[in-house]
Amino acid sequence: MPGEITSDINILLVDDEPLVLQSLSATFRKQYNVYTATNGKEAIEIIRKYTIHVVLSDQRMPGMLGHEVLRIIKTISPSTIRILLTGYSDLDAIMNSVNSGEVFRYLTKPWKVEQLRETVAAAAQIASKVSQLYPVKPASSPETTDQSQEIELETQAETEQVETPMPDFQGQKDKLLIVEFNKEQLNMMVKVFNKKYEVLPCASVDEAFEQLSKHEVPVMVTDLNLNSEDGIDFLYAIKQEYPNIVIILLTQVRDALLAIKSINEFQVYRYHVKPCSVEDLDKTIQSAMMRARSYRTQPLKNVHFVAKQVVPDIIEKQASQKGNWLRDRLKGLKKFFGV
Amino acid sequence: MPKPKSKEKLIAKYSELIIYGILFLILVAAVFVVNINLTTSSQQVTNQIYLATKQQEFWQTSYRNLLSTQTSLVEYSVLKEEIGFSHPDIYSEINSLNNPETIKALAKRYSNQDSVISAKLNMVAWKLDQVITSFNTYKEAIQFFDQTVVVLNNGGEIQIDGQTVSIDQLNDEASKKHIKNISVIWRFAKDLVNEFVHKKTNGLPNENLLSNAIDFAITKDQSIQSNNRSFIVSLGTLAAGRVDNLLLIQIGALALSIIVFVAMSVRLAISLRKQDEIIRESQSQLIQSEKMASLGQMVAGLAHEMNTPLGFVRNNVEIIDENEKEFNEAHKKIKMILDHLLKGNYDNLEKSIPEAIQKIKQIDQVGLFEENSTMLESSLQGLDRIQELIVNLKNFSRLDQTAEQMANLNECLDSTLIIAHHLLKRHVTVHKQYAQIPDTVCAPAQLNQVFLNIFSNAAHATEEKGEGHLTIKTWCEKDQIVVQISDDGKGIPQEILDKIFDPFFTTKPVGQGTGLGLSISRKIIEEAHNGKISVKSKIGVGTDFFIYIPLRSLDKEDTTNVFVSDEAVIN
Repeated sequence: MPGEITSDINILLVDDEPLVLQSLSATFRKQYNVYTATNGKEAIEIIRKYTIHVVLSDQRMPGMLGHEVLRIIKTISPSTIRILLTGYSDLDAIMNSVNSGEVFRYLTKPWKVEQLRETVAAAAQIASKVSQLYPVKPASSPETTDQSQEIELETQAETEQVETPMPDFQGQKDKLLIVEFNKEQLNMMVKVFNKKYEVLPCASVDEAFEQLSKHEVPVMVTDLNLNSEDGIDFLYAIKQEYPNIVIILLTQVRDALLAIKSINEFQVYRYHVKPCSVEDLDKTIQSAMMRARSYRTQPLKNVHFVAKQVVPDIIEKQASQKGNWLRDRLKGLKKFFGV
Repeated sequence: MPKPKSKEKLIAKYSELIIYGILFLILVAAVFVVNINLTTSSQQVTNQIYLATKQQEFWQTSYRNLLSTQTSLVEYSVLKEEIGFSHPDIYSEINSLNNPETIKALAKRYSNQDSVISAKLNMVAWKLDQVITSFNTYKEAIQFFDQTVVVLNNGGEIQIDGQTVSIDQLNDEASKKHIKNISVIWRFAKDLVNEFVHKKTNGLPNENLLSNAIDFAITKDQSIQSNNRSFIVSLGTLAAGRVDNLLLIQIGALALSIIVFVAMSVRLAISLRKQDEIIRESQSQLIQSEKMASLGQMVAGLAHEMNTPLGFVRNNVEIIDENEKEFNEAHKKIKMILDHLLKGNYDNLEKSIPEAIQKIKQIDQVGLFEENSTMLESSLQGLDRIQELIVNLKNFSRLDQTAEQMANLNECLDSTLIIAHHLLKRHVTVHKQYAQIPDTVCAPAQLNQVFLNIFSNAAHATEEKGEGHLTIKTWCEKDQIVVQISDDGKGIPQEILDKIFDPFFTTKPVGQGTGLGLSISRKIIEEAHNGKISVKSKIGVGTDFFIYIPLRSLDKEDTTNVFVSDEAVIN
């Protein structure tokens, strides 16, 4: 590993193919400290030992799959920004992993160096910002064992805080925005969730924009297939203006590329395929509410929010004209209603 | 909406069948009913003929007895008169006696005194007996005759010889006419005969009435008899007509049923052929889709295998390009120094030399040259891998080669393993135990499809466990090659083990498998290669597939000619 060039950003590359690792290290060694691992186990060991800002992992490896590795890394080092490199035949597996990995970006093979560097650079910037939130891990742990214990306790406390459902916020019900163009399905969902949440039903993009600008909405459940409007542009606009909103997709299309896109472009929180059980959706909404609360109290936990602040170009670059147009409309409404 | 449509079609098809069935049943039932009808009516005719014959018999009996009554009566009177001449006392005695037994007793009394008179008296008694018997027979016969006339005319029941014969009223006008005639003739004589039968003078038939009755009998005998005969004859023709009808109906019914049957079988044949076509079509479609599925598997595997080298080769080239820029810069700087030296601009050297040295140092420090050569080397390796994959793709599909050719199954297995690498790589360790096996004539592309199918099943079977072993053994056995492919996956339940080679049998969820993979595999092994494929499995232990391919060499004699025709050679 080229250790001569010192940088304060550490990145970890995980791939079972040594030639890929060689090639990628050559790509990044100039800007970052590069660590490599040829399997999940090694990667996790490295994460335990060093502070890693960005991890770039292949999906298909012997033993642990990429998204599983990333999930474990997340629990060990929540500040590490995770990027998954996926091949053509992994799409099905990705579809299943979207909901568990909470990955910053999915990149597809074969990649372009420029794009890869851009993404990793953005991730590095985000990571350096986010890491302010978490206590710095010592480069070598053995000398300060008590400190590391402390960290463990702290992270434990943190996760507990996230996991225990909070009592109703100021005695109020949480707001839940549901966007669904099918009136019947909308009514049904309103009926199901009306007891627990203050449901804001929307049957059109305009209604959704209006509700969003009138209320502070923590969580929204939406379909991607919104009649004539392109759901992706619609969600892009919303996420740009309200980065703290947690989006749950509820859609009929089981499309891995679409799932990847919705993660890369507006950091969708969960991707549910219709029809899904009420129980599952309810659980997802609950955890989304907790996520929204943590975003409110600690905005730095919201990777997308940080990304928007630190590297706005990488996100805005992907937007279509339509998306920008929708965003402008939403901006106007926001000014008008004030939220 | 294709389902309800096909359902409608099905109903239409079945309703057609049902209509045919009903038609057939109706036909059979109609023939049955007609037959029964005809049988009962011919039973009627038989009864009528029987009765008519009986009528004739009664008439003849009565006629005969009437005449014999008369003659006996005359003879009796003559005999009595004879006695009267010689023995008037006895005459007066017997004149009042109308009983043959008493006269016989008288004769016995006289037998000792006068044998002549006794014999005469016996004669008288005998004659008297004859008169009474004839008269009684006549009476009985004529009464029966009367009854037959009534019954034949109006229908009803009659007791003859202890048997009850029941007769329906006649419908046939022609035969009815005859019995009517008899009835009309009889009506006039009936009272007279009745009187004659019931009225007796001195215990004997009344002679006046007797002569009237005889008068009637003689004058009407012919008429009655001929009517009776005509009646019987007309009934006979009626019965004959019925038989003809019956025959006609039966022939008609037979013809109709043949027509219905032929129509039915033609329809059935047509729809069966159609069905057959549909089945064949959908089967070939499914086989096609199975081929597409295995092609898809191959493409997925290949795409994945290619993506990796393609990815890093591309990356390497870009890095080499970047490094080259550094080299160019250094090159430029050195060239400038040389330029300055040549032109004697020594002043500029002071600035240029340290710059160039720094650049070169930088390059050396980072090891850009080494990096470039490693990058180039690894790129070449990557390109070799891509080339290898392409070659393997050719080996796997053998699109550019004939289907049947000499090939080594070990090589086939290897090229399939590369295609299946992406399926197996994550969790399956492959153990190869190949024996030295001779080449054999086979269709490698098809065999590869079979192997890929089994490998992919093995990958699925070991998926839950997280790690598995795939053992591939090949060996030669007499005149065949055996390939054993074993996995240590979850195994196949005994109850479905027999079914796995059946078409459309699948354990995968709907949409994830056509259920044709193994059935096509069997077809390939058994039909195209004359081989055998079998399976052994144990739950939780694993599954073993055995494939037996008979050894075959290329046909020695090459029958194809060099030229299309040998005329040109001769000329």
